[in-house]
Parts: sequence; C-alpha cells; structure tokens
Amino acid sequence: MSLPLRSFDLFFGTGGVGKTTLATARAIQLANEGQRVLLMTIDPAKRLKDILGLNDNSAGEIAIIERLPEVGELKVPLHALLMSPPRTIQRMGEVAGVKELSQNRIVEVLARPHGGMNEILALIELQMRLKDGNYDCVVLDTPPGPHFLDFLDGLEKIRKFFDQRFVEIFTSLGRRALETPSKGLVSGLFDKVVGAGVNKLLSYLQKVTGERFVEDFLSALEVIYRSRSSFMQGLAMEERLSDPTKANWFLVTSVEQGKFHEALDIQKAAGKMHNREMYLVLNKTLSHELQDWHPNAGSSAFALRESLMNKENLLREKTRPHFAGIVDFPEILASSPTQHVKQLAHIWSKHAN
Amino acid sequence: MGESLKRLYIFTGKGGVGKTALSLAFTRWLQEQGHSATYLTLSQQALTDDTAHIDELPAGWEKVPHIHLELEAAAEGYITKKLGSALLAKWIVKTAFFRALVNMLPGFGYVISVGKILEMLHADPQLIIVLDAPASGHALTMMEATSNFREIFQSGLVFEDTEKMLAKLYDPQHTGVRIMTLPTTLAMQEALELKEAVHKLAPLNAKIYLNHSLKSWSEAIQDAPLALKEKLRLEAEVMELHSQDVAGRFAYSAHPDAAGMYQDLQAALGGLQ
Repeated sequence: MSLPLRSFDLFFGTGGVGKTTLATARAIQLANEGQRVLLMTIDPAKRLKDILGLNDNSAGEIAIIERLPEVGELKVPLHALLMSPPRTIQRMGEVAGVKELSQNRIVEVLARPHGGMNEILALIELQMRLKDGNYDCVVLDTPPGPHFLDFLDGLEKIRKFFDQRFVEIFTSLGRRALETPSKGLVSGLFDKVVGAGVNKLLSYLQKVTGERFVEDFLSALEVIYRSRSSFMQGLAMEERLSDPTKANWFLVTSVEQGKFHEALDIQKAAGKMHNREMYLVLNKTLSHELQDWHPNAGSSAFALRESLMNKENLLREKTRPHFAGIVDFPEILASSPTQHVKQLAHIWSKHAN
Repeated sequence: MGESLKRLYIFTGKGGVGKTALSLAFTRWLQEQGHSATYLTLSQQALTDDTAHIDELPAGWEKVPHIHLELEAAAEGYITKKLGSALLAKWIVKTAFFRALVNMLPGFGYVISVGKILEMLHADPQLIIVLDAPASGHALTMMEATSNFREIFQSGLVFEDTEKMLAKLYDPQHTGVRIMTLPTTLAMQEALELKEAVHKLAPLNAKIYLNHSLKSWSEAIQDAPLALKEKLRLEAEVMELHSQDVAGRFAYSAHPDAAGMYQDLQAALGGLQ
C-alpha cells in the first residue's frame, strides 16, 4: 500500500491500542522525509513525553525537536505540542479580548485535564496554531476511546450551543448589555430569561444547584459568548479535516483488542457524519509469524495458535470491506520505548512507499 | 485477600484489556459466593445523542445481573427526588437549557450517574456494584467530576449531596479501584500512572491486574515463533520489575466463548476482592 501525503493525519482509536505511539512514529517518519510536521497530542503517557523530551511545564507550548535518542538527527525539526486546555482558554481570552474567560470558575474547572472540554479546545488550539505556523502536515492524536466521536462532534456542539436559545437571549440583550460589566449583565440576563419564559426552569434549577451556580453558569455563558469568535473560527477546521484530499483518517485498533464491533461502530458513525473513507491501522499483528508454526493437533500449543490466529483473521475479515486499506504493524518486541517508536517509524516509511 | 468486600468496584484500565469480560466474570463469581452483585455500565451520551448506542452484554454473559444506567433517566430520577415532582423533572430534562448544560458540562452527567449508583447502594445494603468504567482518562473524569462540581456549585442541594457522595466514593472501605492491564512494559507503566492519578485524587489504593498472561502457556510456547517467546520473556521482565505492584494475573484464555473463559478465569477471580 502506498499512503498519500495529506495536510492532516488524524488518529482515532478505541483506546489503549497504541494510538499515540503510532501517531508519534508517523510524525517522526514524515519529519525524516523532509516534511514540516506539527504533532499535537492530548494527555500522552509519560514515556512518550520522555521520548519527545516534553514535560508538563512545556504543555501548551510548541517544542522543537531536532534529534531523538536512538533515531538521531531528524531531516527537518519536528514541532510537537502537548495540549494544555487552560493555556488554550487563556489564549482564546487574549485573542478575543475577554480576559474573564480564564477567570470564570466554571470555565476553569472545565479546562482541567479531565474537565471535559478537551475535545473542543483541541480543535480551537489546532486552528490557532495553523494561523501561526507553516506546516506540510499536522499529525493529530485525538482523545482516546469510543468518545473520540465527541471530538468530531465538538464543532457541532459549538454550533448548537451558539445557535440555540442562548443566542436569542444574548442578541436580544443587545450590545448595551454585553458592554456593561458582567454583574449588570447577569442580573439583566435574569430579566430577559424571565421574559423568555424559562424563569421557572431557572428557579427550580437554582433550588437544586444553588443560587451561586446559576449565576456563575450564566456568567460563564456570557464570557464564552463574548469569546465566540475563537469558537466559531474552529468551525472552519471541520471542512478541512473532513476533506478526503486534505486529510488521512486512521482508525487504530489492535489485534490483542480484537474489538472489531467497536471499530466498526466508530467507522460507521464517522462515515455517517463525514461520509469519507478511512484506513484501519492494525497494531500488534502476529499472523505473519504464526503462519510458520505447526504444533501437533490436540496439544496446548495448537489451541493457543488456533485461538490467536482466529482472533486476528476474524478481525481482518470483518473490517476489510469497510476501509480504504489495512495498515499492518507487527508486534514490536523492543522493550525500550525509543527503540519501539523508531521501529514503528520504519514500518510507516515502508507503508508510505 | 484478607480484605473485606467493597460495595463498589470500579474496573478501569486502557481499552481492550478484557475489562468487560473480567468485570462480568467477577460479578458472576460474587453471585456464586452468595453475594448480591450486579454489573453496571454507564451511557453518558443519552441526553445529547439521539442514536445513543446501548451496549448489549457480550454473548454468553446474559445471565449475569446487569444494569445499563441511562443518564437521562438518572437525571430525571434525581430531580424528581429533589423537587418532589416527576412531572417537573420530566419537563426539565427535556428543555434545551438543561441539554445545553449537560452538553457544555459533560462531568455533570457523571455526577448524576455516580449519585445514582451510590443511591442504589444505599437503598440495598447487601448490594455490590461492579462498575465497568470508561477507559482510563474517562474514568478519571468520572471520579474527578464529583469534586469538580462540588467546587462549582458551592451551595444548593447538589452541593450537599456531593459532600455525601465524596465521603462514600473516596472511602477506601467502600470503593475499590481495579486497574486491568496487559503484561507489557508500556501497558504496565500506563497502569502505574493511572494508579498514581487515582491516588492523588483520593486515598484509594487502586490495584493493578495483568490480563492475557502467557505464563501458564510457557510449555506450549517452547517451540513457538520468536514473537510469542519474546512476549513471554517480556512478561517475566515486567513481573521482575513490578511484582509488588501486581495484585493478580489472569491467564490468556484460548476459549472463544464466555463459558469456557469463565472456567479459565474462575480460580483467580477471588483476587479481585
């Protein structure tokens, strides 16, 4: 198979299948072929940070990697970005001139590493980085798990969020209200909300969640709304990421995992939403090695071989018709993480040519 | 062993390590020991996604008592209790405002789900819940959500409830976190990172278990291709380095069916207590 070069390589996965490691290896391979690459990753395991020489202090900033242990000097330096949601929020606030954005208590909690806004913020960060940098290819490692759809869904959520009742409320408040200090807006907003007929709802909600929360939530809405340009600009990313001539989509799964149902579900959902093809990256394949092993029928070795072979074959059989191609990565046995990534990068280069 | 049973077992770990099969097997084992146990999964998206995919139990496990917790139903139930009106609650969860709230604050859904789980445990003092939790990162989101929202709310009924919830959820006598992983260096390191993250959050001692162990297949692997021999060697290496961190090992099962798999796992399941 010959994998095309595109402006974006998106990695999705069912979680724990080596997705981040494969994305890193892909970025290294592309940089070694002379491409200017930005690798964006969210919450990688510590060993990957170690390989790339990243640490939590450098989160949110682009690290320029010229050489890697055991890999040596890269043909073109690799830019790597460890996502930091709070930093993204801060930058959004600066860009939109809404410094309260990073000070709002609700927004602050949401922007924590496990606060739940990572997917949306990743898209916004990507959009901001593309404005600054000049890249041949962005390798994007999406958050793990079947929840990756949230990531694709992120833009839809933004759209819905700004499309719905809130926009009506805010626009009906008019410019005057948006320019007054937030406290005035919040009480003004209450009046409008009363007018909009949701006063009952809010009073019930207030009883359950506390008065302070409803106020904080409304002011969170306000600062987010005032920073909406950043959110809305993120929408432009959707088209670019969905365009098959601009992006390769890789769905990563592992033979070990053998969860073809889950992989197919993801493929189906993504296909429905974006109507495009994707590659299946099959990690930790064993069948090439097992082929030449012929233990005696009835032995426990035979049972083990059958079981491992069947698992892998079933996975291939069920998934093949639904993907543009299957990209094989045999099980890497090196115990050193850098060796591991180096060998994966080598396999990528074989698939690319 | 020697430890008393917990009320809530949170099974987590990276995807594809056999978390679902192990938590189902453990539930069945608890039942067979005469305990009242149920397997439980969550769906977070019910409120926002019309086509929410409801997971069915993998074939062969249907007899294990199981609950699929729907977020919308849990939210409705919670609000009903708090406001004393099912009609109001039904209306609230259907409003655009409430949906936007859950959309924007995904952790809110977890708080409701965790609250529901704790309520079930409170209502039935004999019940043990085995929660097949989302993969690593999302499990942390779930466990963190309650304290995050306690900070957000500061007052009101939910706030009072989150206080009580945290006392239970973070109580090591009540809650056990079980991290499933694979016998490789990298998977082990990830499990250790997760264990540390859980520990930072709460005084819970998360226990790590290796699944798909090849140790009991040593003999069969003697003449196997290099890849398998290496896997076996790497597993031994992991055990040498981390033996004190590993609470138990589950052998790779060559049985494709649930019954056969349960038979293979059975003897070691007590170690999950």
